[in-house]
Amino acid sequence: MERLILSGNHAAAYGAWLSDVQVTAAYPISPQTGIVEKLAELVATGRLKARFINSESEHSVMASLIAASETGARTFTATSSQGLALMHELLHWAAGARVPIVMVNVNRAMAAPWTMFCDQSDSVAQRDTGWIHLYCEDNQEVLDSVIQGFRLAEQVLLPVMINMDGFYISYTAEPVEIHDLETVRRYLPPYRPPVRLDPADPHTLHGGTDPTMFMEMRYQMAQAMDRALTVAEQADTDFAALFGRRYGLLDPYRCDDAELILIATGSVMGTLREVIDDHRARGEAIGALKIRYLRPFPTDALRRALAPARKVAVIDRNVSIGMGGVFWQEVRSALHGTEAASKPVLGVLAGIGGRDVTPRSLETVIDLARSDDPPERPFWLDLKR
Amino acid sequence: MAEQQIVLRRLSDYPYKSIALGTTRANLTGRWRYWRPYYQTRRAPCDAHCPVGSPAIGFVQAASDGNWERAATMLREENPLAAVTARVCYRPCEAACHRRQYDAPIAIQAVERVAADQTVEVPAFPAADRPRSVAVVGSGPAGLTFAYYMAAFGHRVSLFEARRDLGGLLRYGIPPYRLPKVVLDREVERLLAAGIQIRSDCRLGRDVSLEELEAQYEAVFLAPGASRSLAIRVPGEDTGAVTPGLEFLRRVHEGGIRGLKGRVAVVGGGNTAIDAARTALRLGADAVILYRRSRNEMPAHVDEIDRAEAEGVQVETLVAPVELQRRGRTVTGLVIRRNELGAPGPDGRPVPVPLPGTEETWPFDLVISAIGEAVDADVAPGLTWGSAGLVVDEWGRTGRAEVWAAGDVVDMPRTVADAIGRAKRAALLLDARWRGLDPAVMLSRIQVAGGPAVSMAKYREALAGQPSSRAEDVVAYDQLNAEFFEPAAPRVALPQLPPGDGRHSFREVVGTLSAEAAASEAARCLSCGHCNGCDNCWIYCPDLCVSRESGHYHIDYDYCKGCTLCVAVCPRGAISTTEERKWRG
Repeated sequence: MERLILSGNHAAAYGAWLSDVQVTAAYPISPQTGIVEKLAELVATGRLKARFINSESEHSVMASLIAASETGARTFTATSSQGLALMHELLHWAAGARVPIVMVNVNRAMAAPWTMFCDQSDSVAQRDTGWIHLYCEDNQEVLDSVIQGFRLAEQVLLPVMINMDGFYISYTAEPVEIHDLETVRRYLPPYRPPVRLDPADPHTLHGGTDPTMFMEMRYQMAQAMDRALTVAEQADTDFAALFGRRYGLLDPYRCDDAELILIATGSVMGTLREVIDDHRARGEAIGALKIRYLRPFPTDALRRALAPARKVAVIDRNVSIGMGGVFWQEVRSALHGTEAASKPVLGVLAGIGGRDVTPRSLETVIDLARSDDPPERPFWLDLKR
Repeated sequence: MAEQQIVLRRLSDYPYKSIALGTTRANLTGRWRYWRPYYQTRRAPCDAHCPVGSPAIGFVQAASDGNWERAATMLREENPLAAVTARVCYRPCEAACHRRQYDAPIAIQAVERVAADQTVEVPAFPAADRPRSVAVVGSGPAGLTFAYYMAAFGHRVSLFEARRDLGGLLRYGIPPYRLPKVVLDREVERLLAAGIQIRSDCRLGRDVSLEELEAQYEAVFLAPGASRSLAIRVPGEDTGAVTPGLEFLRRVHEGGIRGLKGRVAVVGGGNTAIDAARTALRLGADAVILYRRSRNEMPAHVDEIDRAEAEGVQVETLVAPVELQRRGRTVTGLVIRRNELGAPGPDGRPVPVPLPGTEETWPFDLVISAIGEAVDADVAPGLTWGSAGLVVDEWGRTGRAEVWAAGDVVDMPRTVADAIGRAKRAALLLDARWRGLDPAVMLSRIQVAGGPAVSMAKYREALAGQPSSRAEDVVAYDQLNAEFFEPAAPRVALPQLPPGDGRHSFREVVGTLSAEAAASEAARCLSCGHCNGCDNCWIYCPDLCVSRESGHYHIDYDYCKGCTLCVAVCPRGAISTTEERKWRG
C-alpha cells in the first residue's frame, strides 16, 4: 500500500486500474478529462492491460462498453454532464441488458447556459435508468467506490454510476491510499457472466420481446436492485475487513441524540462535518447524515438514522424544477407512512451551478431549520434577492 | 438439430437477461438495401494522364512492395521505351498526382527509371493467326514503338530509317546528358529482339517511295518526324550563317563539332533551344537564349529552363533578332530589338509587340535557330497535310487506305510520350483490324480513362474475351478520404550532378535512385482508386458484413443494409455504389 497525492480524477483512474479493468472507452469532457488521460497513460505504459477505445461520442462509448461487457470483459468509463446526457438512451440499455459497467460521473451542471461548474442535475436526471447511483465525499471514497462498485455490479448484474463533485473533488488533490493490487484481486475476483456473447455459440440478445414477457424482465431488475442493498452492505463489510474503511449505504455523523439532522451528499458533507463539530462543541444536539446511495434508496436505514431527530433539513445540490431537490423528495417519500412523517423536512437548494456552500451558508440552513416556522417550499440558499 | 422451445410459465423460468436460442442470421437485413456498395478499381490520375498508357499506379505500388520484377513487367508491357521516358518525359503523371494537393506529388518518373533498369521477360503478346507485312518509316519513338508491337504480335515488320543508326530524334535530338546513348542503344536492341527487319540509310522520297511501300506491304506506318528547323527570318540568314537547332545537335552527336569558343545565341524558347544552349555550354561557349515573349510563355519545360540557368545559360526574354551581322559567312553579332507583351493572339498567348528604337547590337560567334520544326511534306506526296502536320483520324489512319501515321509528322503534341502512345494505339488497332475485329469497338474497349492512350493489358483482356476488370472513371481528390492518410512526408530528392559540371561534361545530369529509396518514395502513393488493404471497410462496417480473405474483401449482401459507410471511410475511392434495381419496379 502506498499513499499518493491525487486529484479525485486520478483517484478514479487508479480505482479502475486496481480493479483490473479490461476494456475502457471514453470521450473527454471537463471536468472529467483527467480520468481519461490517466487511464490512457496507464494503458499506454502497460500498467493496465486493457483495450482503450478512442470513441467519437459518449453514445458510442456506452454502446461499445455494453458490447464489451456482454463478452465478459470488465469495463469502465467516465463522463460528465452533457456527455452523460448523450448516453441516456444507452444507460437504459445497459441496465436492461444487465451488464455490470462501472462509470464515474463527475457532477457538472447541465446547460443552458454553458457552465463547467458543479451540481448534480446531470446525474439525478438519470435516476430512473436502472443504474445503481453512488455519491462520494472525497478522493479516497472515489477510489474505494470504484472497487466496491465492480463487486456490487458483478454480483447483482446492474451497472453502477459513481458520482463525484466537479472541481471540489475532481480537481482537488489530497492523500489517497493505493491498495495492494493482490489484495484487491482477492476482494474482486474475475468477472464470470452467466450469459456471455460468444461468436462460437451465437445467440441473439435483447431481441424483440412481446408484452407477455417484458414485464417479468423488468421485475427481475427491480429484484436485483432490492438485493443490491444487502450486497452493497456485505461488499462494504468485506472491504472494511481488508482495507480498514467502511462507508455504509448512508453515513450518520453525530446523529445519536441529534434533535436536528442535516442531510447532504458529496463534498458539502465535508464542510457540514466541520459545522456540526462547532455546534456540538457548544453543546447543541445536532447531527449530519450523508446519503451515499440514491439507487437503490436505503429507505430502512434512513428511517433508523433519522429516528432521534425532531427536525430534518435536506441540502440538495440539484433541483427538479417544479418540485424541489431530488434528495429532499426521496427523503420525504421514504418517511411517508411512518411516525417520522410528521417531522418537518426542510428542503434547501444550495450550490447550484457551482456556487460555494460555505460554513456560513450552512449556519443559515441551521437557523432556518430551527425556526418555528420553516418554509414548506424548497428554500434557495444564498440567492441574491 | 432438434427443435428447442423456451417456455416461460413462471418467473423462475426466466433467464436474467433476454437471450434467444437462435441468432439474427435468419433476418436477411440486406433486403432493406437501397444503395449497393461494391469494390471497383478506378483510374488514378497518374494513369489517366499518361500519354503512353503506362500503368503508373501499378508499377509504383509494386515498387513500394519491393516487387521490382512485377513493376518492370507491368511497365514494359505498356511502354517499350520506358528507360527513355524515365529520362525525357515531362511527367504529366506527376502534374496530375493527387498527392500534390496533400504535400508533393510522387516522384513517379524516378520510380519508373528503377523499374525500367530491371531485366524482365514481358509475357508473350497474343499472336496473330495470320501474320501480315508492314513497313515502318522512321525509327524515332513512334516508329520503334509501332514496329515493336507489330513484331510482337507476329507480323513481319520492315523498319526504314534514313540515317545509319536507329533512334531518330532520341538519338540526334536529345543530348546525352539527358539521354545517354548507351541507354538508348540498350532499348533499341531490346525492341529489335522482337524480330524487326532493319532498312537503314533508306530515306523515304529519295531511296524509296510511298507507292513502292504500299505495293510491297499490306500496310505502311509513317513516323518520319519533323526535322526541318523553321527559319528565324532575319536579313542575312539565307547565307547559311545561321545553324538550325536540330542540325547543330546532330552534328555534335556525330562528332562534327567538338568544341566551341565565344558567345552562342540560341533563338527560341522550346526544348530544342534549351538543349542547343546547354550543349553549346558543354562545348566551351557562353550560351545566350533569346526568346521573344516572357519566361512564362516559354514552351520548354520549366525544370529544363531552371537547370539551364543554374548551369550558366543566360536567358534573355522579350527580345527578337532583327538583323544578322557577319563578315562573309562568319557571324559577328545580332541586332536585337526589345518586345513587350500585347493582347493574346489566336492561340491564347500574348503577342510580342516590337518596341521601335530599342535596337542594340550584341556580339555573337554563332547563331542557332530553334524556334520550331516543320514537317517535310515532300517525303510523301498525295497525303492530306494540315498546318501542323499530316492529318490522321482517331485510329491513326491517313486519308490513304492502309497508310497509318504517328509522331511529330502528325498534328499532335510533340513529346516522346505522345509519340509512343499514338504509335501504340495505331499498332493495336491495326492488329485488331487484321484479326477481323472492329477497331472502333476495340478502341472504346482499350482506351485509358476515355483519353488518347490505350492499354495493352486491356487489349489482352479483350482478345481473350474477358470482361473489363476495371472502371475507367478517374478518382477525384475529394473522393479520397484524407482523414486516413499518413502524415505528410517529403518527396525524395533526386541525385543530380552539381550545376557547375554542366560547363564541361555530357555526363547524365539526373541520376538513378537506389531501389530502396525508390521503394520508399513509391510507398508515399495514396493509391487513388486502388484498394491497398487498409481494412477501413472491414473495421467500420456497422453490420459486420465485410469479410477479409488473403488481402481481398467481400461484402455479404444478405446483411449489407447499404449504409455506404464503407464508401465514406475508404481512403482510396475504391468502393463504388449502385442503386439496387429492385427499387425501380
